[in-house]
Amino acid sequence: MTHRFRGLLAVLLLLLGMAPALAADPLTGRAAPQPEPGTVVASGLVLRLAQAQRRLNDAIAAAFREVRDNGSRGAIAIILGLAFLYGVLHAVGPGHGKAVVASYFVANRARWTSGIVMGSLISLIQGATAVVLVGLLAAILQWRQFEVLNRATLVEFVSYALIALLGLVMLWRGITGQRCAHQHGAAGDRDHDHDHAPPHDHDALSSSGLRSRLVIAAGLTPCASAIIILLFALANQALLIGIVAVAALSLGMAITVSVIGVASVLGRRAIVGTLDRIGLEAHRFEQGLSIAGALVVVVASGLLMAGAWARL
Amino acid sequence: MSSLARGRVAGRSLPWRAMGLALAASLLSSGPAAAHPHVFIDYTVDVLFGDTGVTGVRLTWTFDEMYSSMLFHDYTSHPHGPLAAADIKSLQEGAFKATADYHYFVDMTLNGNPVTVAEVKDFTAHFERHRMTYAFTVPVPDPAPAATRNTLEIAAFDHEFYIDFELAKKAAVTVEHGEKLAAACAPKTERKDTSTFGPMDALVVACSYGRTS
Repeated sequence: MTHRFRGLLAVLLLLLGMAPALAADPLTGRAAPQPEPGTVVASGLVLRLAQAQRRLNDAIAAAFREVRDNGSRGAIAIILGLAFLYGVLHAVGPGHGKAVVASYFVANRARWTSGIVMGSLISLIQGATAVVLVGLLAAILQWRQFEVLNRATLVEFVSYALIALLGLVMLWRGITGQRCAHQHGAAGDRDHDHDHAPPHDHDALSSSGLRSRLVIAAGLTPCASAIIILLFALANQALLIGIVAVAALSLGMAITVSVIGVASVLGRRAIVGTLDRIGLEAHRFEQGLSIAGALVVVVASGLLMAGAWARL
Repeated sequence: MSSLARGRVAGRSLPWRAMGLALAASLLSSGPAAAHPHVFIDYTVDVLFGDTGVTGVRLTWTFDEMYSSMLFHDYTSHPHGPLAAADIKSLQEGAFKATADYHYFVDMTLNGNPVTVAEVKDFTAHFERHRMTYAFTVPVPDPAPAATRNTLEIAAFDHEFYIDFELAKKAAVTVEHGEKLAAACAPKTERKDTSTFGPMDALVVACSYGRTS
């Protein structure tokens, strides 16, 4: 029972941790009390990242003009490098599948390489979604540029809704302990040296099946920045260069999202390993992690859904 | 958020510390340590004074080149050259008007009381050096004009941080007819809340003015 209690505590702690993000009240912001040290750092980081992105955005646009006006090949290389950097920084912001990746790997046991694979796949599929969307709607169907960008918001909304649904599946499994039923079975299983093998599939609703569904759902979210770059390239008669730039952008994002994935795999491992060492029954605690991870998926995708809805 | 995590971890056993690490990793995605602008705007503020108080604020927004290109592509009829009156009308009706839902992204307080911007006037736009600039005037109803000392604070800010508003590098703050009320306006840093990313520091324009005699 006490382990269940600990699991519950972990969930509560997680939700508490999210509270500052949820409790943004425009009426209290004006009073501007003495800032907490933590938020000052975060706020400074936000502004520095935004400024870096502002400069990169300017420089990429200028390089596109350089290509259009002078056919400069050097400028193409510059576009790729800048787009890559832009991707690394831009993906630090909310969305881009980070919450999905982090919560999945907190909730499920996996190799650290899976963190890289899942993070990269999501980013690259997101880039591909943007290319398909702009290619089809803007280049072929000749929609107005803002119509394309707004339609992307709808796709984004659908993607978050799918992720939220998958989060509910994760939550259901966490609560019912479906994921690794054999570990929670017989009392004789309760030795603390049990094998920490990679997860293995039980059935169609397996962990890896869920993972690929999550990758596809999260990959559906087209990044507005990728779309804006593609539309800008199209307006400058350089769609092909735009597509390559978005590939570079996606690679950059893949790095950021993969870092989150690997950190989550290792974080989970550290927790479970420590619990084992101090003689707690880690597999009981794991249920808490599964529930916590699933809750984060549901809450984060719900927040992003609300954000997308507001922009629809 | 991070200070909360630190408080919980202090003096606890290793699992809690590890838990904190994992939390930090997963929360990076939804916590305040997030920067996510897709549109970048440089803005300027021109504060207009009458005989007894502020009458309005003239704002300009200059968009980043990519967003400017989208506006130009969708709302103008000429491939090059200055905007025609019809283009400006089309920008106003097709694009600018929709920002009314966000109160034109204007955050304003008069003597500490929030002023909600419902309408604006005198919209115009120009396209220059690959950038689109909007200009419009926010009328300020100054109900208690020119007490001894008054403060007006104004900023362009998107609380969703989809748009990153920044005060322009040059000539960001100007004052019209401020002599009579000894008006002085200057940028200052203030804490602003964003809807999903928590508080952040932003520059606002703060004016001080009042009866001189």
